[in-house]
Amino acid sequence: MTPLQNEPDDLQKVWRGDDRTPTAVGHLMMLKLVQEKRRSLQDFLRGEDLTSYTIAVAFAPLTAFAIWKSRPVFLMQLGFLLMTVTLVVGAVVTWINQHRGSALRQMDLSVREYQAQLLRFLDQRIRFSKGVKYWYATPLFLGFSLAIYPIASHFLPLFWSLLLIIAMFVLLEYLTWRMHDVQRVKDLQRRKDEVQSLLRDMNGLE
Amino acid sequence: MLETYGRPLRRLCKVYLRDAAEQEDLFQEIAFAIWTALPNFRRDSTERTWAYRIAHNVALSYSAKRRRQQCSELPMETLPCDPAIEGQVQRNELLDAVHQLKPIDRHLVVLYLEGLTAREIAEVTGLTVDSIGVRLSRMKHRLAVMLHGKENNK
Repeated sequence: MTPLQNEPDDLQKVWRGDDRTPTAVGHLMMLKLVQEKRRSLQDFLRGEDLTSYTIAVAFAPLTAFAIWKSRPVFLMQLGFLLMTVTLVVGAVVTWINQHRGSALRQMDLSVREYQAQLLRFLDQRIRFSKGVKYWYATPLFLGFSLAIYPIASHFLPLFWSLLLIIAMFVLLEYLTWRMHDVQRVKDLQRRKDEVQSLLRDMNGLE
Repeated sequence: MLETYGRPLRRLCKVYLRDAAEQEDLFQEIAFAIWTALPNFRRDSTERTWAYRIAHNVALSYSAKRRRQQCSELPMETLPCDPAIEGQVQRNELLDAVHQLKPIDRHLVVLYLEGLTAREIAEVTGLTVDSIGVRLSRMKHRLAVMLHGKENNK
């Protein structure tokens, strides 16, 4: 019905003509199926999002143990300490970031409010992804470089060991940059552009 | 609630996605979102506008996610179309015309086609009633021209 009419107009009649319900599955059964599907999807997403936790859980105890074991070599000890702190901080920051994302679960906002909220969330995610290399990757790889430098310098001359460590550090930083700054940010940016375009159109109507 | 809004929500899914299997997936996502949000329904809006808010928000997120995964949509010709069923061709033409609109116009048109008042559409979208009225009359005219154009081409 239009705002001024009580009877459906021609377009509305055509549109609503398709009243066949294609599924034979009852609604309750369907919801149970969706619940199951959703649960496995959430497990998958949790697994994907919690890479930082997994790395922290797997490596933080090892690096913490390595701090104690590498007491005779100060540089190595410093490297493992830096890695342990970074892994723990990384897990905490990821958790906080995910917690912020839970605000998006409020689906019953108006389309405009929801899109505005989504835009703020995407901005945060882009900043987070761009910042990963500064606050996470750099200290982690620096710690790793410090930890393995004494081993490299034991087998190689000073110049070559330094060169090896620097090359490894640069390579790891580059891979992180490719993964977060290029691929992930590109995906987020594309989504942000779509949201911005919709909001712009909505504002243009006013 | 699904008994009441099941059919309109299925039609809404057709506006967002062209593939029948994906439409079914989206419908299930919407149904699940409504089901989980139901305990928090504060009744500060009607049940209908509340359900449509959730449906549009889920559909927007879902279709964006699908676009990212696929990077291309299926052509319109893949729609299951049975000319033997009366009105099916007309409905597909209308759907085709709706698909050609900008996303915001699509939101407005689908809500109008489902019979929501301008005030209810304002509640769902967050736009003002005046702007919706003006836009909708333009869209109705445009849809009519698009459908007429197809008929004339036949």
